[in-house]
Amino acid sequence: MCKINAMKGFHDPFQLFKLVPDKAGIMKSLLFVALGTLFFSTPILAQDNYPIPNAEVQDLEGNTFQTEGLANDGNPMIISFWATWCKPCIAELSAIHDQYEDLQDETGLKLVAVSIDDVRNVAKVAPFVYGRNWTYEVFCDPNGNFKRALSVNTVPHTFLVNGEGQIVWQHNSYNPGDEEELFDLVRKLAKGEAIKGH
Amino acid sequence: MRNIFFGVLALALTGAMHAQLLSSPGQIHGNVGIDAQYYTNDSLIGAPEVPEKFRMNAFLNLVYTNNNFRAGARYEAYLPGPLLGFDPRFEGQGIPFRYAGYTLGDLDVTAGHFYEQFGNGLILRAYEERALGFDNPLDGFRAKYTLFGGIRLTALVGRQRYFFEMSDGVIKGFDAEASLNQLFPNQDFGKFRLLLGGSFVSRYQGAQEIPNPDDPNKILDIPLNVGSYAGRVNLGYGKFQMNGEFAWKINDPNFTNQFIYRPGNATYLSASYATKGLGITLQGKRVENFDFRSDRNESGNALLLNFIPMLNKQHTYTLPGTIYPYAVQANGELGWQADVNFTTPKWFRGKYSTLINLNFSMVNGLDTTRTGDRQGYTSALFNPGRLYYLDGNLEINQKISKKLKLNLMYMYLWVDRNQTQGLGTSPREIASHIAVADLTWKIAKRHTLRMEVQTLQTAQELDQIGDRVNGSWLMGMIEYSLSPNFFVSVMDQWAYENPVADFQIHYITTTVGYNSGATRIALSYGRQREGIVCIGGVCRQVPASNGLTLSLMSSF
Repeated sequence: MCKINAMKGFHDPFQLFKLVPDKAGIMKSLLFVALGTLFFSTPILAQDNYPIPNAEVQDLEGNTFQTEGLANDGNPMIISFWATWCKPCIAELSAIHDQYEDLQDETGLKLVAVSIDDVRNVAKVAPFVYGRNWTYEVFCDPNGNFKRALSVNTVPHTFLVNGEGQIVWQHNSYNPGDEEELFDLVRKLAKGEAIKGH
Repeated sequence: MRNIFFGVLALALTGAMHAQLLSSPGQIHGNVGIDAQYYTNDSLIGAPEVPEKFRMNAFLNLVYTNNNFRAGARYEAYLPGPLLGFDPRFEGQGIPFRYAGYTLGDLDVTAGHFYEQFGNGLILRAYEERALGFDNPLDGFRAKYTLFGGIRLTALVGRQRYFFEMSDGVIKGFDAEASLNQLFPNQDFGKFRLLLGGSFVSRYQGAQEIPNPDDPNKILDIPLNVGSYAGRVNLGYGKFQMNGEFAWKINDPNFTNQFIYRPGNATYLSASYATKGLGITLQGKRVENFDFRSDRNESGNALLLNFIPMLNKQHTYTLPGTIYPYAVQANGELGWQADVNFTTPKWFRGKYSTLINLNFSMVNGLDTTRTGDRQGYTSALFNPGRLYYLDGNLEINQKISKKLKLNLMYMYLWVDRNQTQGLGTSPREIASHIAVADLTWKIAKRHTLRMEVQTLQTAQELDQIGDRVNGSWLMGMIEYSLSPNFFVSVMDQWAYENPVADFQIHYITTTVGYNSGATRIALSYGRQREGIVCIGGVCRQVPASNGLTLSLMSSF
């Protein structure tokens, strides 16, 4: 259906790009057309379940780490994008921290906190995390490599990864109480139940 | 030619992708951001008239990945023009960002646009900060190669994005980084960690006739290739971590340094200690004549090639963060910061421990002496010059009960407002005391009320009576949220002590929002105060405005 509607809409594919009348502009747009073609011809698009994309981040000691190496031995994992200057992020990670040990015992959960702090604050990330007694696995993404690979707009942005290493759910922003929904989903995952992605 | 090349490349890659599709369809993901405002006239707050009434900033990112292959593009539209406060040169629409790349073992290649940072970014940082309308990726080729599992090499050539065009200057860069612990994983170094790095970045920009300011009949002899070098060390021992980088740039006469021939340099140092319940960070920097862009004639936020971090706390409460913010002076400053995070142990405070953050920062200009020639000036290495900024603050977070959480903050702030905001050369010194109380009350499961009260106390400047920021401020905010989908908030900022009675304005804004999964829609109505918005070290001047704003963000 998707394919047929798309074809009806644009008999002349360049009609779309009349707003970029010069030849160079059209050539520039070809990659976009190519992606568009893929979009309409690929049976599987933005799937509910997909693997963690690879990007270069740094551990707290400054070593480069490839995100394809993120795993939690078949248990659920939360990937949470945050920053030291982001109040809702800190509220979310603090709320999770209050129940983290119990959840770890119950579900085998691991939380990976990815800080998007840039050079201005990146040196403060480790003291900030330790100063709050957080026991999360923490990485720094000072130039937004991993953030872009996961199409994150703003922080906080939270992903839920199942035991097979597939992203099954994501959520943007945090309001107090949101962690309850997240915990329910983590428990479902730990029991091997499927959850519907957003 | 270049565009044709990319067209052909795109087609070839599409073919390759379709070939791969048979066995594996790959993934398409992306995100969307739309910010639109309907402007209403409000001369009292100084809002400029917007004849078209409506403006919008919007983008769509698409990212395709298939095993080791990736490609992506971003469409942006600023129609009929960018929102007030964004550079008007964004007006229009197009695809200013597209790339393709792959990873093959230890090799990673990108063609098209890419973002990059060498070390701490002192000589190269191509990055984006969408909320500021800041986007300076390079367009060209980049290759990364990892040797022996611990040496990382990066080489790149490209031109920088310039709104919907490209920079005149061409950038070449090379970076090498070696991690001792990753190179010799089987060696036991105990608690010792070492990382060394070095980089080189050069800009080529064609000849140009620039009159000599000292003698208008003569033309300046401008270097066509401007090279910069940087070396860095990252040293760790147990709970201690140190990071230092020194950068040097050959003479680069440019608009921001008034075309002087003095070489530039920058030093950044940080040391930290982190253990359970305690974290301490010390940072310092010295920057001299280090504004580096891919065009010698640019200024403001356009075509910046490097990143000089601000070293003060990134304040996010409204009054501390936006009334007197600080902007980096890349052509000369000396700054340092101390930051302590501390959690009281359970035996001391019982069940709910107290979190304390103590922060102090100070920025001075350099102590310089004018030479009267095209060298510009000489400077003392350590002697601080004029004070630009001083900020001491204490923040306490306390959970009071299962339902109540309280944040308190006090801050002493001293700024030379003319210097830090580029308003003038003569000092304009302002001292202020700021206090914030922020209470979160969990009324019931999923129902939360949050309240903020803030005040900024300062003496009025009677010689600045046309200024709407002048004098003391009060701010109140109340926010109700129904987790996980709804929130509504009302905020009032009141310039209650402005010496001009008409300027004792209430800036009231109401916001309603809806969140679902990775989608967020917010609608706000009210007054936006004129000021400076700063995120991650870069600032943008925002004029006053009044009206209805729609913001939509979504990832898929």
